[in-house]
Amino acid sequence: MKIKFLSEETLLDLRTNYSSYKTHYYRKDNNWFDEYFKGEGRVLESQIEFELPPFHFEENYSESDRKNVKQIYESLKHLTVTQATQERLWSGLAHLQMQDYVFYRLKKELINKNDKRINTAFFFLSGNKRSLFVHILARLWWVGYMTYDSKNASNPYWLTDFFTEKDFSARSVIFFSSNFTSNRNITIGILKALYKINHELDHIKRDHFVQATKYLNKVGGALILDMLTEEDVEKMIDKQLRKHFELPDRVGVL
Amino acid sequence: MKFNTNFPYPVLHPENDDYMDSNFESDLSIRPEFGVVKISTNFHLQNRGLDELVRNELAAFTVHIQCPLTSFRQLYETTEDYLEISIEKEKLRGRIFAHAFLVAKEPIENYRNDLLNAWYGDLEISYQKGSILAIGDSVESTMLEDHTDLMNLPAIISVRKSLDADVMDVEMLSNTIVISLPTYEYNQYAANALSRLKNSILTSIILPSLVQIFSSIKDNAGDYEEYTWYQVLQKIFEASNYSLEEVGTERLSPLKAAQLVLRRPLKASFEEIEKLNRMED
Repeated sequence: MKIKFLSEETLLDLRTNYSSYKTHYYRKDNNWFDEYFKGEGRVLESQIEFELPPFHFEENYSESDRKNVKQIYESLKHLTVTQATQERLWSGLAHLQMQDYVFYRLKKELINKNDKRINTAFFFLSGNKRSLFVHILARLWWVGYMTYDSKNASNPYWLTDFFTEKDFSARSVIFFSSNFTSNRNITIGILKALYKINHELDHIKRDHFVQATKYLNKVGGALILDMLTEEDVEKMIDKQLRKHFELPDRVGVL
Repeated sequence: MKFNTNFPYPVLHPENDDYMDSNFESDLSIRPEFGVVKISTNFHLQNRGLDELVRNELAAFTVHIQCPLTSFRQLYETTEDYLEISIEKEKLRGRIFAHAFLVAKEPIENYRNDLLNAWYGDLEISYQKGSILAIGDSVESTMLEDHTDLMNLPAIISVRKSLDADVMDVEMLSNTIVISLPTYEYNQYAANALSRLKNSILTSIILPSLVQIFSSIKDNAGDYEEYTWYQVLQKIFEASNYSLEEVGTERLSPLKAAQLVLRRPLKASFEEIEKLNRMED
């Protein structure tokens, strides 16, 4: 099937008048949404073909988030990054072809009428870049894109599995809001260092992510980190985290 | 995108005197060309010691490219004095930043250079891999989507009906500025926007909204600069030899800025009213 997206007019109407429409969201009122989107010019069809991902709907979100990052990225891997930054596309998928998943993932927020989260889940209201890691669907694709390790042919999602195993929402925003993680070598290097420490400690905490990005911000003021290889970054972060958290040095090869 | 220019080691840069009789220049340019964005520069390095580092491949001329929105960040390097980079346009959207540097490719111990300022004397200097040795120029460009008309104000402002508001409001946290009107006001606006009073109607809605926008920009530019409307306004101001950053200063108050952008809206409104009165007489 082809991806459907919202016209600019429709997007603005839904955003502007959310407070008038919100009861339809709370009630997951499919009839109302169907009628609304039947309006002429409200929904546009793109030329982008895709297969609807087989979403997971477990009660435990940490389980389903991990699986759904891979599902959505597999299904939409062919999107260009510029397409994947478009609010009309993600808001369209959230209201139309992937609405079931969105209602499942926002179950508590809809019951509690948490308008702020419902809004940021459907629309880009947190700034263009940050929204990519806050929007309920865009964040799945972007975490998949940023953690996909094409060099590991047998399991390109090994870092995705690690990144999404816990604290997915906060980790995504903290980690990918940093400018440095836009560089693939830096991102993979940090994640590899964290991955190894995670295995030693059983489970790392949010602070390990915070300290890793904080350290890069500090050294990034004096160095062009982009000159470093994935292995350089991994060693650098490993050394710093061991010092900060008073962990024993690793024996042998990284 | 700002890079630090204060370093704990010598860096060749026009704003410091770490080196004598030395110079590092580049002439970065960014241009879109048939589906790709081309970034090119010449490098002119005038310092024998640093030049030797390049020839010995301990340092390289580099261009750092970053596009925050699409999470694109890459360093391109060469030991030649010219570099041309082509990036597929689909990887870039919004603002892109390019900086030229001379960067250490390997750790450099016991660095010596005859042209270092005497202040460094016998200080032992070493560089890490990735250290900046010289800073060239930087440029910034905006990749707008093809359908965005660069100089078209209506394309970045949308007037909408708000079903529950009783006063006009302006929302700035999106690529388009959204002005919401209460239902009655919106219906009147929609019915009369193309009438003989169209300028007066636009003035009563757009002028105060722009004043509010320009008042807000002064202290919160960082929150808005990623949005298309901000980038378009920036180009509109640049075309008139002003800069958006000046809005809110003595030279350019928010009220004056709004009137400049709308090209004397009060005059257009009164001329319209005068014409209408004349017709009625």
